[in-house]
Amino acid sequence: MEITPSLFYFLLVLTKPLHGYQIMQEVEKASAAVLTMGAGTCYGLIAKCLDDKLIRLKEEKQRKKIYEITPKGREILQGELDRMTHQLRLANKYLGEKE
Amino acid sequence: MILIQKYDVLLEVDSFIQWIESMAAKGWQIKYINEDSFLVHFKKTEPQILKYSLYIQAYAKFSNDEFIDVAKLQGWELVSRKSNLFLFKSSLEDPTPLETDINELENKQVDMIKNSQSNLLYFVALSLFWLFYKSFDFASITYLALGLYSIGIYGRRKCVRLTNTVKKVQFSKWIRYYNFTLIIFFSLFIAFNAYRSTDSKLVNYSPEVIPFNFSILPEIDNTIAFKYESKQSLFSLSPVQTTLIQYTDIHRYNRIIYITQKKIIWDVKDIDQYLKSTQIFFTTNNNVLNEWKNEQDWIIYKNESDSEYLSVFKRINTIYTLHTLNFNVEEHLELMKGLGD
Repeated sequence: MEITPSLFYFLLVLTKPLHGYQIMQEVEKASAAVLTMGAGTCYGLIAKCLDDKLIRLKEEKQRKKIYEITPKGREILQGELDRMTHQLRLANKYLGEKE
Repeated sequence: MILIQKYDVLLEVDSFIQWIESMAAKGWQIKYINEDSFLVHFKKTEPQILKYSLYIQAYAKFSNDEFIDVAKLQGWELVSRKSNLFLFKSSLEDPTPLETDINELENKQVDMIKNSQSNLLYFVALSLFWLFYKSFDFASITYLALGLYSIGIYGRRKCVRLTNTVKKVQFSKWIRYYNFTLIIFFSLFIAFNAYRSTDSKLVNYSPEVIPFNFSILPEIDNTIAFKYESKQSLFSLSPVQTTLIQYTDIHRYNRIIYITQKKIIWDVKDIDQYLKSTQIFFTTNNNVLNEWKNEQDWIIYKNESDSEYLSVFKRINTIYTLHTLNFNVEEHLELMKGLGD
């Protein structure tokens, strides 16, 4: 499964329950404003991740649907974090050897 | 205002958006979005600098209402929606794009193009309907026009399928010229045909030679039709082949095609006053002689020709067979009377 930057931050912020607009705001915060998520991308990801069971609908409050990450979603997120950490370590090691 | 579609909504999204933005700046805002139509409807407004965005919804669990509400928070107002296509507008100078994942946008465009081809094939099938009849009446030629136009769109989108990306379509410009040419040609043809059809005259036929209790329909170009008093479905014979075609409700069709030596077209509304049931029969000059059976149900046609010439349909259960006899009318009527006793 391809983990795009949008998907990565999307799963990251859903480690706490949020509704759609909150997801977009939190993604911008978590990425230090590098990634601004459009409404279409956000709701597309919600639909896709619901299909893939990476997130689930936790509850519906005042006509707003609140989502949270599932164990499968956490596994994907952790896998991506491990991959990025490993990649960073390899890069630092390579740069240290080069010097 | 209605204009001919300048750009393919799916293949040329950027050009389409630029076009409708320039129209909005001139005081014309688009009313509806439709990926397969060749017409675009605009409404008159005050000139405005607007940004438009086309969003393709690709998932079953997509929350449409919530998406529209949240898009509004980002400055996007929904203009029109058709199936999974959403068209938004914004008066902000630099609104956050609805789709910020570019790869996802392109994938969805390609998927939608692939799915739309099945709709276009429906219109291509309609053009085959024309080939079957080889008729130049209004309805048939419209089907042909839609079919050929759809072939053009299908061809362009097939290029996308082969290359799997919207950026590499090489032939779209030429196929756009093909579609424009078709639209102009068929518009002129339809206009000419509509003008020509107003010249037809209805002539009352003398009821003297009509036996039994047949109702007389108006004669056009020396061809007479007789309405048969029954609740059965009507049948017609094509001059191309002898296949029977069943029409269950004549009023679904705007035109009835009479297939004789000379093709004649009637408007249903012109003869509607004579109809009590939904039955009209067609005939051809392909003679099919079958054995007479002593049935009571039948109908007579007088065909247009140099000699007196009658076509007779006999009904056996729900099948009508054509008996075409080269008798003169009086002799034939004697025979008919004898069989009807």
